[in-house]
Amino acid sequence: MNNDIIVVTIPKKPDYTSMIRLISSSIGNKVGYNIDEIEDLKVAMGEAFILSYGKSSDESIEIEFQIHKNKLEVSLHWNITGGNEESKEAALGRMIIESLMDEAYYTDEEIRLIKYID
Amino acid sequence: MSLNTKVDFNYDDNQWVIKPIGEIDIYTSSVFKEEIVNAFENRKADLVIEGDHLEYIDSTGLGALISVLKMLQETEFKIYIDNIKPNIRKLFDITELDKLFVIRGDGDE
Repeated sequence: MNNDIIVVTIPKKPDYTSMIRLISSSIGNKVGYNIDEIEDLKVAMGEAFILSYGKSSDESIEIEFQIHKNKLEVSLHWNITGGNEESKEAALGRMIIESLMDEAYYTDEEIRLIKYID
Repeated sequence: MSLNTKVDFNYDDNQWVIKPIGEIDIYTSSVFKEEIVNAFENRKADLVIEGDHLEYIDSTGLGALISVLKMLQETEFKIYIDNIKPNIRKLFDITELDKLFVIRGDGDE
């Protein structure tokens, strides 16, 4: 499972947010997270998807999960950047992501999250 | 799972009881907010969010609750959040919304 990569391209539509949470939970389970850690990953990924909304004008978001020995690294990537529109909920979303993940990086075309595997 | 919200007026306590069953997320939060606002406009009274069947909430759902809170702040009425699960309570704590809302119940019922 070391260095395995899973890539999913998901339409940027609100009704796909539950699918992202489901995929994230499944991968969290695969890497050996406990129930709380799986929940944290799921919630953070839901927020990352919402954040990508304001930042992207693309029709889809590419999500890449990289499974390393000691960490799970996830990137949400899009090709067409939108305005730097930050809704008031975006601040809440960032607070949630940064509390639940070990590292979080944001650029105009990518959100990258890291959560360690004990 | 999506969201099904039961909205009932409790005549004994003279308050709205709003029971979200499922997930309040970017897909469902606008309808959830609309249902609360409609109820309140129909009859002005305190609002109780009964959270024992709320499985998940995201920042757009929290945003919906914040806008309901703001709507009520211009009136004499209050919003209470009851019996939310620990995973939901955690998000209120992280975002410090636990200081803004009256959250009742021990959260693990």
